[in-house]
Amino acid sequence: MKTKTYKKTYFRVLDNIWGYAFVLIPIIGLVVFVVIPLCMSIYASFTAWPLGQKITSAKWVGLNNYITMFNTPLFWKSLGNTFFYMIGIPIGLVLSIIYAALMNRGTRYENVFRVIYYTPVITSTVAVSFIFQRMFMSDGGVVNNYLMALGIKNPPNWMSHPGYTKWVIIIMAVWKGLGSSIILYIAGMQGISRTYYEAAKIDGASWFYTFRKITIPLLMPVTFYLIVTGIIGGAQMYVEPRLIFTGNGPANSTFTTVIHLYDNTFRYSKAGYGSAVANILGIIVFIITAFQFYINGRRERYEETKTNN
Amino acid sequence: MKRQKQITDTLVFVFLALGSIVMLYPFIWMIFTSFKPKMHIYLAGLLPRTWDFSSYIQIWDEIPLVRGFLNTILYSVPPVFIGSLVSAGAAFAFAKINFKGKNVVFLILLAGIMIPFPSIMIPQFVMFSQLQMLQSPWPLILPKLTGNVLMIFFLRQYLNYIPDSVIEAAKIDGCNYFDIYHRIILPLVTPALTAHGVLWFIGSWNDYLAPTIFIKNEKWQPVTVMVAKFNEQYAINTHVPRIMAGSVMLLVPVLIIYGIFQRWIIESVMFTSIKE
Repeated sequence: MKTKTYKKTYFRVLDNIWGYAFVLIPIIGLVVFVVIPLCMSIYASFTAWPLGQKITSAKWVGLNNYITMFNTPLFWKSLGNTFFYMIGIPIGLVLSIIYAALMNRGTRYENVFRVIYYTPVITSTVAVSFIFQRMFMSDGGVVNNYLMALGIKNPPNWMSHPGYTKWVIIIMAVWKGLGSSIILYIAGMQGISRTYYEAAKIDGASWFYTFRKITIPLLMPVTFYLIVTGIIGGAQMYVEPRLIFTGNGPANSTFTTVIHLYDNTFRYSKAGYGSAVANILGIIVFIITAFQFYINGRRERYEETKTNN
Repeated sequence: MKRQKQITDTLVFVFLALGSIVMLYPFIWMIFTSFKPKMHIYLAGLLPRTWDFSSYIQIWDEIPLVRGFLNTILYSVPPVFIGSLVSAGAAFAFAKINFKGKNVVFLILLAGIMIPFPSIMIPQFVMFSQLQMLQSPWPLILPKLTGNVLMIFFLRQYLNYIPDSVIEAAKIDGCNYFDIYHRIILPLVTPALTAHGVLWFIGSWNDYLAPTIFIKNEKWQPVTVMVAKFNEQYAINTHVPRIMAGSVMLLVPVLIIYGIFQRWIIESVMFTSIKE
């Protein structure tokens, strides 16, 4: 009896040691590369800290950086632009759900199309940014050449008119992300039980009615996931405006929050102010992500109670 | 009825084929433009009238491409390989070992990925600078070695489908957890691990923001940064073929890898998303 409990404790201790041995490295990574930087960033945002100086010697300025930030029109402009880009999210959702439905009909050629539509997803944003920059040029850009060939006399000045510049980035983001959303929607569609569709067929429902009343509602988790990841990715927009429009763009029309914090920190060396902007950005992203986890958890609990009854 | 289905199939095929042109056109345009002489870029027509390889010679002469590719490989192959093994180990522990507080540890790791990179890049830069690492390749290697939380998350879900009895049987045979990890778990997760590893590899191959901040020694720049600099320089005098040659250099290796692994990558993305 005694040896048995002894053995049990022995194995439990062993399990604990092995368990922590396996997860130790990721935990160290989290502490070194996330937790410590995060604490530094919070502290730094309350100081006047010139980049390159020791953070411990930086002067404490209280909430000054945040006050300056909220009084900087360029900050609000950058935040406004960052959220404007997110118009691409609903456009991408509508397109990808249509394409997913068309690529999930059980025909032979579908796999080829899935591979083709997914190609932009894996390509380098740097390379693609330069391609789009050139394709949307006003003089000799292919896009306007095609628009003129279609009979549009005065195609937009994509690269220089502040009303159009953001659309170049939005079009590129939708094009680049479409394949990924399509694949996730197809996966979601394959998870929907056939019985729903069979029942609808017996009731004589049209294809469109079935799509609207069964497919779209049951794909809500995927849609929700795509919206949230879209917002998180969009909030970090940096490379596209930087490379297509060298950052600010005409009348600051393509300027984003990450460019604002990058320039202030690494160009003007105002790391305290940059940290304040970084923290606000982090808080926005954190709230959105936490909201997703909350909703997801609620949905799962709801589904559990449904299946239990 | 059958006729109607044929008509629908044809219409859908045409619609998807038109979409495919939009998806691939930028790449095709890029490749053909890179072979045009500079004066020909305003001429109509997709194909070059004369094939001109000077843009590639120029890019070869002007930037240390081989060095850039070797740097990129250094940042994306060994760290992703080691990081994947670390992630698989952690996923195994979270899925199959009962240790105290594992759910809390898992949640804390997940909370870590809610913090976007731009929010912590300033202090990371300062840390690497104080460790005298800005002249070295380490800032792009070290963070990957500690694993990838999203990968841990997906592999853990994958491992949940493997019955515990497999582990129990191995334990009775006298295996310790490390034996189980490398003799049973690693072979089991290899397909999922490879697919996620390839995606991670592609992501780190395409990385741009982190290297522009952390790599201050030109010798250690990855090829994305080299090409971006080359392209920005020729953007001023609108030497489009050279810019496109630069983009070709960046894209071709990834497209080849994608061509080899495409079925696997797409199936893995679909598989992991169903389990969400």
